[in-house]
Amino acid sequence: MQHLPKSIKRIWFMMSIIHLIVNLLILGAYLLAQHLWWPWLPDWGIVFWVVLSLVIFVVELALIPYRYAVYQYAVYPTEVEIKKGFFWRRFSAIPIARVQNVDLQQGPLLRFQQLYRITVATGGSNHTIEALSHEQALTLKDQVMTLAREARNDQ
Amino acid sequence: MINKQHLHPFALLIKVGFLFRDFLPAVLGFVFLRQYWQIWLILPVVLILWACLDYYCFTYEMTDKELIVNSGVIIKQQRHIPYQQIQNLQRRQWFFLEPFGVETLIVDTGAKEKDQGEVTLLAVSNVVRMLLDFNSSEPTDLAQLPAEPVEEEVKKAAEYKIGFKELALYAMTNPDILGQFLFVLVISNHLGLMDILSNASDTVVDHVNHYGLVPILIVLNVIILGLMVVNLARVLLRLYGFTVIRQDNLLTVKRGLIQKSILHVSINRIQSIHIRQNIFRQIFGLVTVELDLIADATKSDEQKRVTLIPVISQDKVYSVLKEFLDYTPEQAPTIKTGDWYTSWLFVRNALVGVGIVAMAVAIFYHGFWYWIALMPLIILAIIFGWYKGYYTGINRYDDGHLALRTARQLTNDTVLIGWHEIQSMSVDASLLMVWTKRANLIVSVRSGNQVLRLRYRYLPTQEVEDIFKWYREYV
Repeated sequence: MQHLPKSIKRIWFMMSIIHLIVNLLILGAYLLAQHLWWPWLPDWGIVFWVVLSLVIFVVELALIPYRYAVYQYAVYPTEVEIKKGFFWRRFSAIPIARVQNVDLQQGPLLRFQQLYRITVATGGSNHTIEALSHEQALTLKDQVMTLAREARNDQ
Repeated sequence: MINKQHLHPFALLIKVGFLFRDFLPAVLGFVFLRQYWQIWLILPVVLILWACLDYYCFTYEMTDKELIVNSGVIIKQQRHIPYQQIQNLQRRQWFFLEPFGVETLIVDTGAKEKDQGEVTLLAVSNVVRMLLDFNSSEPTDLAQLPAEPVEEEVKKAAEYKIGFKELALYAMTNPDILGQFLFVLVISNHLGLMDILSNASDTVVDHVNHYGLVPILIVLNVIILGLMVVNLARVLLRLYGFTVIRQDNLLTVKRGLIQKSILHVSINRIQSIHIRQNIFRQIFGLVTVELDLIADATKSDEQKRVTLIPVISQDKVYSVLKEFLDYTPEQAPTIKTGDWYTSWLFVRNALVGVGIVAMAVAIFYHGFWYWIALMPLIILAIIFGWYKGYYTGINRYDDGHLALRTARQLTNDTVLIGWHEIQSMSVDASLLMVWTKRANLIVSVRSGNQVLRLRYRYLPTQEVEDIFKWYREYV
């Protein structure tokens, strides 16, 4: 089984920072609303919110190495396997013969690190691999599509 | 073949019927508002005119190679359906049209896009169906095929017909009755029916007037009995003479009294079999059998769920199914009932749900009645949760097939599915579940043009991993 490219850790780090910023913005909006329009909004939530945001931020950072270690994928002649998640673990198996399509996508963050998100589509369900390098992504796509075509020809 | 022509005039009547049915809620709305009564006069006329236009603009013709259908009043649409593409023909026939040989024909194509999958010819003569059959790739009327010298008994591989008693039980055990009951109460309240009835019963039960409960109980009982009779009638009309026949690879489902419906299902399209039992049917030892099929994209997001057997005794279901489908088990597959921990987890989830709602409500009101109302909710949560835990279990019943069971709202559902029909499988577990050696099994199946993700939760990790291993190593 293979791991994701190491640069995903940087992406997760950036996402944690973005979460923290968003939380602080929400806090800022709340304070503003309290100051300008609705003075009756309670104060006790503020400290709680700040503490919660910081705790979440630290926990997310600490979890990055664990997330990385657990996230693995493999392409076998008979199936594609994807294992992910630390607190919520999921192990998926997709028979090659069921694969209809392999899609590559790129959001702004991924584009920054030249990574692609893979979606393996079957008759209905979709399974994603969060990020692969361009080379890995194309290799996986070619591998899976070739095997899928062969499997269908055999049938 | 057949030149361009309009539908049989009866189609006009059907269209008018549909329009009236669709606009009924609007009419009822106006009734309640008691305004704009002029609607009563204008609306029917408008609807009939529209139906006439629609009828006039709908034509069909059959060429050498395809069926061409023109429709649409404002936005015109032309559909070309090559005979080769026709996968299924559904027939519905009103009993009074039988002598004329006129029926409603629903043509299923294999098209995957929405609105492309199905064409309905509201009223056409038998000839159309026979011609379509003759030309299509999957003839549905095997009588049309060149006759082989085969005996009658061999030709009909299996047939199952429902009796009156079963239909009656089906009607009685239909949970719809609860919803209808509430609906009637609400309506009668609004129309002042309760006042009228209690006035009438006043004179009858004058001396027990201060026991306000009695007249109300009488009324309630009358309503329930009335609903049961209505439901029984509805079921009888819809499912009268329900018969399933298997010939080669084709299942034919016939039903109906006033309007007969005939549905053909190719066995190859079956993705999974559901054997379901709501709490009422469980008391009587009855189950319902339904099938999930690969779509022909019919309406937008519809699952293609077909009822194979509306109701059958649970002792007979597997032996009867075996006659129709080769791969079902000979008898009920052994599925372990969930242990107390599984049940507890579902109860816990239900209580959390109730708790969240309770806390939200408590912000506004938390007096005496709040706690009184909370009790039955908690009890229901416990019962529902325990039931679900008890009936969640998984097992493999032969080399290539799984029997998976869970429950929802006191209805248990056993799914029989083969390796080839499973699109993908996943095992997941939270960290807590990993410690307590529990896992969830998720099986993706196709149903219609959607995917169903069946979840079997909080099962012992070993059982789940065994099934997952089988799935990955299957050859």
